[in-house]
Amino acid sequence: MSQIRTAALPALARVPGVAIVLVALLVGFSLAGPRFLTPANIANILMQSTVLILLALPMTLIIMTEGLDLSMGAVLTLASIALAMTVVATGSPALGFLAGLAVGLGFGLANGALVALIGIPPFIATLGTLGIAQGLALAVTDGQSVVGIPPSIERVYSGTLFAVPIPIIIGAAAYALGHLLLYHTRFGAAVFALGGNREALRLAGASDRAMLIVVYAVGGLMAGFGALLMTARMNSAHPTAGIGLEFDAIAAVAVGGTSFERGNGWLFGTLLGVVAVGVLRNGLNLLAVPSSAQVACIGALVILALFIDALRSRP
Amino acid sequence: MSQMAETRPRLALSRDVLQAFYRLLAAALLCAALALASDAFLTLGNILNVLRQTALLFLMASGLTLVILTAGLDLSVGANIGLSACLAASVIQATGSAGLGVATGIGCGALIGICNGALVAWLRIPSFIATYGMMWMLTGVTYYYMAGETIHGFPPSFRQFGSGYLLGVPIPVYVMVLFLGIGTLFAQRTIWGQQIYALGANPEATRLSGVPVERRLLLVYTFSGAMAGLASLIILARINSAQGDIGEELTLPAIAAVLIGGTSLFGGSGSVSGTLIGALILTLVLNGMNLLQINASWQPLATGLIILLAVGIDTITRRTAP
Amino acid sequence: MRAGEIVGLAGLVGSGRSEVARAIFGADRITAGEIRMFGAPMDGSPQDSARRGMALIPENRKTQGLALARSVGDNIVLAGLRKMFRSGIFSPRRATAAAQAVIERLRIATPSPRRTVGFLSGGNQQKVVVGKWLNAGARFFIFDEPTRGIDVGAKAEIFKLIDGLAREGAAILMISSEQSEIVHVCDRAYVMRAGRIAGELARQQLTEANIVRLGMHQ
Repeated sequence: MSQIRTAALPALARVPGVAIVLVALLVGFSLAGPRFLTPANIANILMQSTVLILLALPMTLIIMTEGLDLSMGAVLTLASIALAMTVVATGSPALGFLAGLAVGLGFGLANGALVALIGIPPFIATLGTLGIAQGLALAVTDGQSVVGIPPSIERVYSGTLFAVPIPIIIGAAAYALGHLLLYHTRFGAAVFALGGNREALRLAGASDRAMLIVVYAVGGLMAGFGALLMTARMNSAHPTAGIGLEFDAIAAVAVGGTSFERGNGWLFGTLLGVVAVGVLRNGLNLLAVPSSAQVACIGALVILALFIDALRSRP
Repeated sequence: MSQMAETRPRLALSRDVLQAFYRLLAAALLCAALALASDAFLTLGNILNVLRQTALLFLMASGLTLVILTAGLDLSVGANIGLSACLAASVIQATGSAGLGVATGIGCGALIGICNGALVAWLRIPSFIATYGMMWMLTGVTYYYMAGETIHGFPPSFRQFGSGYLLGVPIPVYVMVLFLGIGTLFAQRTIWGQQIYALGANPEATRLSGVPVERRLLLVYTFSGAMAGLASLIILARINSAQGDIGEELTLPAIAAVLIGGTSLFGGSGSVSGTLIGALILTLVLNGMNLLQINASWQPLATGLIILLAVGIDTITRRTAP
Repeated sequence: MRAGEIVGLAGLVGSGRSEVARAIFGADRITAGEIRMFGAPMDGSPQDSARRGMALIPENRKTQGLALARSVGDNIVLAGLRKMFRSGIFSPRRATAAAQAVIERLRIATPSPRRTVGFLSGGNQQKVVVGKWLNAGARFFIFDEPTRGIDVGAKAEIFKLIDGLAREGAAILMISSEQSEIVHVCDRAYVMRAGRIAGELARQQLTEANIVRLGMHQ
């Protein structure tokens, strides 16, 4: 078992990892307190994970191309501010939504251009755009929240369709779309190639740069989408609201088993990772662990996941 | 890729000297521009302030320079400063001893550095992701430990480090000069420095040349951590208090200082003295923004733009090299 | 292996020759067996090998043999730093002088030791790699495809170099996919097949036909 080269069958060698972590967390928190394993709480976890899944899915693709997008949280924040300000100014939720998407897409394209066209390493490029997005958000709002958002936006989060909450539908749809895109289209094949074997892509005649730009653009777009959910949930937009979301997203992808170096990706693993992060946060909340310590725990979880990943790949 | 025709002779030494000169020129031009733009620039108070800020930024960035020389990155610098400062503050408050506090600060920083080094050198986790995870973990631990409180009031002997003067010059500047010397001597005049440059240029070839690559990586990350610890002490001494968010806004400027100073993210080229000039330039830019009364919220944005610019230039010039 | 002899390691591509070379040098881990040099067992790391006088000139000199962005001089002294500067203090002047000596000895075509090594021709780059190990005082050289990517004129120079090293008492292990090279240069040769040694050929038996026969025998 130990000598199986995980490059060939990423899913098989990784099923134990994140599933074990998830089960362990579920069991642990159930034992720690009675309020954890209730239907209401589980539903709560799922609802709160919906923004994260929107970010973690494209982050999976980005990480598969041996990249990283550190700006997602800041871009989501800026997009939510754009959305909120537009809705308040024009009264049209649709325009607001488009504004948010535009901001997200814009930053996504910028990231893609910096990485694919100029060749700046992804972590530094997105670190730069993070600073820019964060700075813009603070400057435009002067540190204040944007309020006065019409209830139509809020209903996106609280409403249901056929008795299923809308955010869950959005999350499921995003996952289905992601799965389709990654495993059943040429674009998906290109994403795999971008991570492990960029040469093959070029030789096959596809433009590796264009694909890379698209990958980051999708990330930005989904951040814009996530902005809608987050603004709906909070019924306001605040310049520091989304800070650090990219960390949860990266943690979810790492725990889910997608490797940072070899172009392996497992979308379902990311889904499990998102749930794991959600469970961890929820469980710690119920135990009245302050948010700061939660972050430390997630950080430890990421390092643990990377540790296990490193051990598995050693021959 | 190998060309016999030499379009421009690449004499490594004069190119570095030339680039350092251009940077100094840029700094001088900045000073001139700021002096023209604002009366407050050339006042004694402001100049001392710029010197002190530059010194602090340099100390944070000097260890980071070595890390970036190995084509790595330490995103946990700010969080390291935060935790080291808070721990040192607690120790000083609890024991009244500045010496113990200093040992704690530097020790904590170095320990964090060792952890980063172990993750990168032995577990082969890419440095940006290892230090990113570490950054969040440290931030969380710091906030949890401080629990929203602030620690004030340190003994005057300790405060001298940050706020004191010697012959009219702020003490941090002396510390800066000391470590400029140490850092430069280490990088240029020791075999370990040479090995680190080679490591950055090509880790595999360096390993196959018999250099203990893992140990050198551990060394640079530990040094970077220890310098962060030292910087945290000077910050403590200056602002005379400690709270959870001390280190938060410091990572980006530290990275910016190194990059502006000409050290390449791709490893193998750069210098500690370059980082000093980079720290000066960045401090001048931020100082200028303050003097021109530009909202402080724009500073992360400016830093981000500067980083992108520096890296963009670095990346594009790399394209024409072997 | 004995001082002064040139031993070839032949075999088809994929027969495991580079792997053996790397294992001997300590670049990769050994799962069975032992390497001894001058009677003493090796630690199995490049650091130990270099210190004890073993050298590896890798197949891919650009990615594994040289730091292309660094100067000729920097590359030449890299493996010998510890030996040259016991106290740890590095003297650029001594390093340049040592590099210049190697440049002259090997007749490396470069205007100065400060030239960026990436701009040199393939043959000269290969000489820099060899020069690195000469500077480090190596006595046992492992050459992995020494003439790959080098023009004909430079090839002859490399062979002369290898021959010269052997005549000065160094031991050479040479891997080559060109049977003619093995026959031309080596005193004897091992032939590998599918990861194992298929046979040894002494001077008299060292012919291209024999190499092919041993390498392909099924």
